[in-house]
Amino acid sequence: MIVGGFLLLEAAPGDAVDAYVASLGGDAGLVRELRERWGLDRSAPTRFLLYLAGLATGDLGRSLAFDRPVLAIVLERLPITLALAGSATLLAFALGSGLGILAGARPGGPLDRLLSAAALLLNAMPSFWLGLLLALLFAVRLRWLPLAGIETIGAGYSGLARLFDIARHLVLPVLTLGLVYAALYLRLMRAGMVEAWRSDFVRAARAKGIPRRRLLLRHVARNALLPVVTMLGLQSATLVGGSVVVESVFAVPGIGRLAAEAVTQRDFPLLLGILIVSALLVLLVNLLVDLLYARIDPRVELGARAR
Amino acid sequence: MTDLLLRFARDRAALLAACVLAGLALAAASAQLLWPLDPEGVGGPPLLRPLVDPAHPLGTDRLGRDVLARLLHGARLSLTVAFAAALAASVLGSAVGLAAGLAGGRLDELLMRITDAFQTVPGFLLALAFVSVFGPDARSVVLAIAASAWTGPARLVRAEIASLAGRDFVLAAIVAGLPRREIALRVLLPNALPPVVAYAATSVASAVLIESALSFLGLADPNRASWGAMIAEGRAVLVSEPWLSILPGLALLLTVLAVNLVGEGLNEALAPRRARP
Amino acid sequence: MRVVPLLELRDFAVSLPAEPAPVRALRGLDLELLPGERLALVGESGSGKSTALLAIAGLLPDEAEITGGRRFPALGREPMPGRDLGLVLQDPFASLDPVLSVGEQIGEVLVAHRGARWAEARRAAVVLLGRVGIAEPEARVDDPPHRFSGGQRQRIAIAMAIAAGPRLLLADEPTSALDTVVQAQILDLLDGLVREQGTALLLVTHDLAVAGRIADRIAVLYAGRLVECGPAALLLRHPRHPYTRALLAIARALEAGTGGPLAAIPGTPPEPGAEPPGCAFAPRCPLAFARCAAEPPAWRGHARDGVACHRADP
Repeated sequence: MIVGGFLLLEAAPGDAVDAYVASLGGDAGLVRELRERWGLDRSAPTRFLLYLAGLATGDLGRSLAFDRPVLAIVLERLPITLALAGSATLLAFALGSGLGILAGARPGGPLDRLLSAAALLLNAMPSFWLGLLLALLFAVRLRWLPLAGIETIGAGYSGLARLFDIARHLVLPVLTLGLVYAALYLRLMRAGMVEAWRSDFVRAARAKGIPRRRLLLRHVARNALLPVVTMLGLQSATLVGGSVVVESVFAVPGIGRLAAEAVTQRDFPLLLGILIVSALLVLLVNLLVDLLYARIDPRVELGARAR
Repeated sequence: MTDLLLRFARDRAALLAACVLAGLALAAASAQLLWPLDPEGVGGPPLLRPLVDPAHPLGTDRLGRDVLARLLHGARLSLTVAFAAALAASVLGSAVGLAAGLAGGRLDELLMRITDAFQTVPGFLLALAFVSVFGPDARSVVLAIAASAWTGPARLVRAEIASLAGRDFVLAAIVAGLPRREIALRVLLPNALPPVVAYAATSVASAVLIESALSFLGLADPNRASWGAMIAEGRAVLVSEPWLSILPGLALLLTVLAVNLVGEGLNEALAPRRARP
Repeated sequence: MRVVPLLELRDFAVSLPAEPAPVRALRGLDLELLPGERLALVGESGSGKSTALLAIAGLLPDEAEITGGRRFPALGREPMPGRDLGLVLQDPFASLDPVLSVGEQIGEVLVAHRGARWAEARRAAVVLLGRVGIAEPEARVDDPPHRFSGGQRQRIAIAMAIAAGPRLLLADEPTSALDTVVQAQILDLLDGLVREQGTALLLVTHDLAVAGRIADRIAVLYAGRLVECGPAALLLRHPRHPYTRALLAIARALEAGTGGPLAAIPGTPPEPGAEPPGCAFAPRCPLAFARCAAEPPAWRGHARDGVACHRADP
């Protein structure tokens, strides 16, 4: 996978630099000077090897726009995005699975139809639009929550109060990001429950006359949970992408927003760095999810894993 | 083929959605004829409310451009980009999947690792990278979306090929001595395609959303009316004139919903009937 | 004095939802089962035997339409699954929940019906595992199902079914998915258990040999209708219905391993819903005559012993 990752990234620096230089246009002298300064005058393969070498030591290059090491910038903003994405995932999972169980318990029933319709709508919504609507409702009309940013500037909070302030600011972004994915998990969980209901072992369990609640939760839902957990891993990549938009809407200073800025400023080293870091992040999450899956499904024996 | 259509038609939601989609496509294609106002030109006073002036039934934006015209032209942009991207992704993905599934061994390994790599990088970030490199116009947006979306069809096709390869009619073709390429194209591919077609609907839906997200962030073609851009522009006056952001969002919602429902209908129609216990 | 039957079916019919129209899987069944009695329901696939079992247990999908009488006179009320009825299904690889331990799956029956607490339930599960022949039950009670073989899983399924001491055990082809050696063991196990507890047994099978081994009475089903019924030993020695005779002949040929053309009944059973008028077996019956195709044969005999054939004497 790492090899594959580099095959991909190999393409990027090449294009990136050429395009950047082309966009500067004009003064050949200036262009030459910049090239020299940034080591762009070396040939492409050389640049690539240098980059790789740098990566090995944790050096992701320097940001063109900020003129600071990329790694430093990214690490500064990473925790915020992690907090945002992490909370959103938790929300999505808990809300989605929970409501999915309720919906799947009586398929075709009124609650199911309501929830499924809501999920369908949420799935079709652009996240930024949802964000704006929520902001409109909660921040503007009702004034319950702050509109943007990560903390109230100039308020000088510290410690627990600061934490609370940050949390307040994160509510809307987390809600926005989380709701869209919650819809997905809801539908998945519900489908899983309907599927499990038709299986032999559920029929046998029904024949045992155990109370309905235990049947649903312990047997049906537990089995239906498996594909949902798998999906958690698969969705982590898209979730990071989603945070780009949400962070931009709510002016949250995380790496998502950083990426958007990097694009407009054509800061390729920075963008590349973010790409690499997020890819690593996704890999990590997938690993964690695999471990989690092994905990819940006794059929998976860790050790010999066939890809 | 006809009984496929019949089965599709039985799902009423999907049928309705397909009609909506068709209507939308038609409206988008004939935007100029339907509502001849210029989406880029200043047609009237700025920030006119909807339903006030019959000349501008949906009002005007901050620069005085007609909202309805912009919605229709935005539809054209969104739909063409989305379909083009989904098509590109499906074609590229199918090709890769076909190659991997047929070749097996080292080539398969290699291709799958590349696919893994592309799947690990968050799709949207990849799209961002593409757009930043190739510049903000519709074509690069299409490429950008396709760049992250092709992994789905690739895996799908590869899995289908793997399961089909063992089936009787394929073995029969091999025994009959058909050249490998013919087997691939005439026997395997047509049978591997149905799930790809169903998946394509999801691709289209996500492509619409990605395109709108890109234009919302200001990273797509600034000269063309796009729903995402409209929402972004409306954001500045969100409190006083919320409809400027709400309307394009509704349009997006409707479109994606319709595509999703059509996709589900396709899926149902293509899936073999499950036997009742 | 007549013994009150445990299960009584009168003109029991079941329609299952299907495309394009619902299908009648069972077309009017009359059946009676006494407490402690062992009845085998024999038939080919498509005869409706599994449907009958599931309908008795109340486990058909809600869309299924059930008509006719189903009563449990000896119980005096609707049976409660688990407590009054136990069910063993055909596929041992699919009838156990893959994510829970076998101990828990047995234990939950006891918790639900015997008011046991989990600690006691677990101990009781260990005992049950031992009774059904699982070696080292104490060590294995917390294992998940996939660590057991097919035969073992079926034993566990049986343990689950009898845990609460039900008065009726329903078994749907419990041995069809197992190899012959294991088959015999499972049948012996079932035999011993129901004898011990005085449990009635309704066993569905396509194999007359299995039926003969364990049942007191045999009922033969064809195309959703009962064609013959009677005490096992007698039926196997003097089958009255041509279909039963044919089945017996096949069973004997297979057992003797006689060479020659595969013993089989020519033709295939009718598709549910497409039964011919008159006797459903007529197209394949060597004894059929004009009346068979025109008029469905009436049941001759009584509920516990009889035959439906124009040609037979009860």
